[in-house]
Amino acid sequence: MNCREFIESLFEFCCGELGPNEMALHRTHLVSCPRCQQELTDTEACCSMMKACCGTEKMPAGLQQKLHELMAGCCGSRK
Amino acid sequence: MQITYDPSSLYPEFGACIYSYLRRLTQDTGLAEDLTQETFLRAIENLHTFRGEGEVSNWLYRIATNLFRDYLRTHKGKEQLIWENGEGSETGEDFLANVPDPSPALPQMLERQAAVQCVRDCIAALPAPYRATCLLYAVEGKTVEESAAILGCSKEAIKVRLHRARDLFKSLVIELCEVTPERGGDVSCTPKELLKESPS
Repeated sequence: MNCREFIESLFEFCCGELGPNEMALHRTHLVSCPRCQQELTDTEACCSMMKACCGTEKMPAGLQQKLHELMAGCCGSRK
Repeated sequence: MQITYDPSSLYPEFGACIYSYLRRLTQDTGLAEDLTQETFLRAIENLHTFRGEGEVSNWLYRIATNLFRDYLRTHKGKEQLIWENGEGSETGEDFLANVPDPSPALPQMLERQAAVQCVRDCIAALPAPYRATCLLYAVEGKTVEESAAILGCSKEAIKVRLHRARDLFKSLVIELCEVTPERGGDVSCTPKELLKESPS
């Protein structure tokens, strides 16, 4: 594997989307490539920071009530 | 194959996730509320068409994203145009033609919770297609393949967007945020724009 191939599938590697053989190839390349190590570190840092700063928000009470009524109405009318 | 899904379980199970996604995507609480409501209404009306290909949550994210795109088409022509045209090529040739030189390492501030608002602002500043892709991949934990299915584009296009969004996000963080050491070894993060406006 070379750097071009690694970068092409970087985001699939990060989320574990590749098969076992491909994951192993990527890990082997990483061991000997500081440039791709940096790419991976930056990518993981960006993703983890975005996730940490954008947790699931609680829905406003008014919206919860509207959805509750919507579901009750729709499900009731289907019966 | 068609599967049956209890419509009454959709909102309790996925309501908060879809609302949070739309809140970040639209950057508008009122609009996010309206689109969340519309998402579940559409889902109920079309539940019989859900074929069980992939998770039901992905289907809901797709409905939500399409509703936002429809909104942009009506209200914000320019941003929608960027989405439709992909802001240039999404074939991947641009970032793969030459393996880039290593970019500067992210500053330590990215590890600090104090930067939460700055990070949210930087996400908000991304063009809508990049923002949607980042939110799905990094925040909602969708794979490249799932993100492509939700956004209705190729995996290649998703990877191009993620590469561009990551680089843009990094530059925005570096450009817009000012980190100040605090007592106790912590840091605070103030947008540089605010620093310019404050009296000296």
